[in-house]
Amino acid sequence: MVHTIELLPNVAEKSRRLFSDENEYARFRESFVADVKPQQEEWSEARRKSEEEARQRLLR
Amino acid sequence: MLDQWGLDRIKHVLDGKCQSVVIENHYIDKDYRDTFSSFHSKRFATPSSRCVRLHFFSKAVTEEEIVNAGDAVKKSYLGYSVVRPTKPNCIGRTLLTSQLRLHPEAHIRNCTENIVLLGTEFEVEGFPFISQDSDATVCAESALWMIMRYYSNTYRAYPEILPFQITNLAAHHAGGHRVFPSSGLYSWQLAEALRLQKFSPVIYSRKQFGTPFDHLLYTYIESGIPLLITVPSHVVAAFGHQSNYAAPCPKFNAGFTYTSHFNQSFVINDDNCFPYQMLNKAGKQGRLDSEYPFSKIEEFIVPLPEKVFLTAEQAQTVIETILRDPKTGIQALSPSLTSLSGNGGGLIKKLISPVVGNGNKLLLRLFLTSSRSFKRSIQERGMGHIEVANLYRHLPMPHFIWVCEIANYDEYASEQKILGEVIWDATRNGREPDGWIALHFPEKLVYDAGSAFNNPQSPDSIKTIDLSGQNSYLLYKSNLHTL
Repeated sequence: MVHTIELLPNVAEKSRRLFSDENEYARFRESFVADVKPQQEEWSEARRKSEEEARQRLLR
Repeated sequence: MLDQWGLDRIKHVLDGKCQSVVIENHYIDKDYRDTFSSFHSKRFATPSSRCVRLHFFSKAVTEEEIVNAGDAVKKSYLGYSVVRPTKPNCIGRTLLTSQLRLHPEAHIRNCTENIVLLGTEFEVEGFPFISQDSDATVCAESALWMIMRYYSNTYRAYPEILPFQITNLAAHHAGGHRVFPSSGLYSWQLAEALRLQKFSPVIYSRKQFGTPFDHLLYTYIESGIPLLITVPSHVVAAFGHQSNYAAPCPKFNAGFTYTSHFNQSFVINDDNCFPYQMLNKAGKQGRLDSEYPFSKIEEFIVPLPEKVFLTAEQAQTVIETILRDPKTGIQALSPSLTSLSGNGGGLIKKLISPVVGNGNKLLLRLFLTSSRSFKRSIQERGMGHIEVANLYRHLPMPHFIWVCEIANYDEYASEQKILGEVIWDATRNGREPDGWIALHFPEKLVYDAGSAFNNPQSPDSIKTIDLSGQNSYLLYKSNLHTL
């Protein structure tokens, strides 16, 4: 069960929902994951190769 | 004990600013004594175990004035430098006030030390410096020492570590090499030494990260995290930057640009040189600048705190995605920011796009900070609207947050004011769509009351509040120090 704690006085009057229903919210989540995935995979690969390179870089 | 090499380096920083030097003979320096005990004492020709400590003042001082500890004397204290009996580099532990930096407009990270001289306590704020002795320590140990000493001076969670202990940290991974005299360390050994000191280090190579490399380096510096940066066969500590917003307004790309675009220099401590040197984008411009341009930086190592799981590039990707989303993005929620971004936030496709297009003024600044420090700034900054300030004060947040400030370039450059921000949970991974805590645009505030209370995010938990009469407000400044 989800409990929403009131953060502001009269928050119910001031706040509105951003997403109209579950479907719209689900579409947002799916689209978000699809958008970030290729770039995040590129970053992960760049990180892995950076760590490999660090094994060869002598500092003196 | 102080040779010409050492004198020249101290003079580079103090020339024209120091009126008197107090010499503390027979000083027992904990850092030198550590390498002396473990290495120098084992040599046939044994140097002294004692050092000389020099204290610098911006005015002429007498012994009586120091003992009486008046405010004027305390304010004139510029810091100290330990001179070791080591050849060829005699400059040991040094902490000079960052007010001595050559570029006063540079923003830097500082730590504080209290020093006792003739029974009087003096305070100095700056970034630690030490030169290598080229036997027990080389540049790698020295740069690591500077970073570690900053952390142990600043946070109780990090223990103080002495130079030979750093050498020994790497010894666990020496791989068949002798540990001392030191012939250098591989950069992964530096990262491993940081890991053993409770950090979660991440390594960035220019070759692998390409164009965003300099931007990511700037982003960590802007986050107040001192870094190890490597140039060919050498490593230095970086802890500040200097930007030039007075430069002509660039033609912004289709969407927005980052404040990193205006960065001209990083502030570094190079153990072969002197404190607070500038490493410029275009390379050496003044006699005292670092010889390296940005393009020579091959790699940087970030000592991330343990509780930061989301790295800068991951944070940037998720924040840009939310800003261009048709439901949560700039185009959907903020007509005023859409007009600033020229042909619309929805068209932003690349992380750092080439600078093309005309008339767009949307500027972003990305940084990591603690929610404690962020919340502490709310009262002073006002956050543009009372509802935003109130909500941020009450909203539970993780220890570390990524913040992406949104600004109009003109207002940011002239008044250091911003129009909104995205706040993202730094303990998320790079694929979670519910990592955002708040989206604050001039017209609307969107917040997630689900994750904040450890409940799942849902359409019911995501709320929006209309903001009428929002004003621009001061950018967040607590990560770096200015004069």
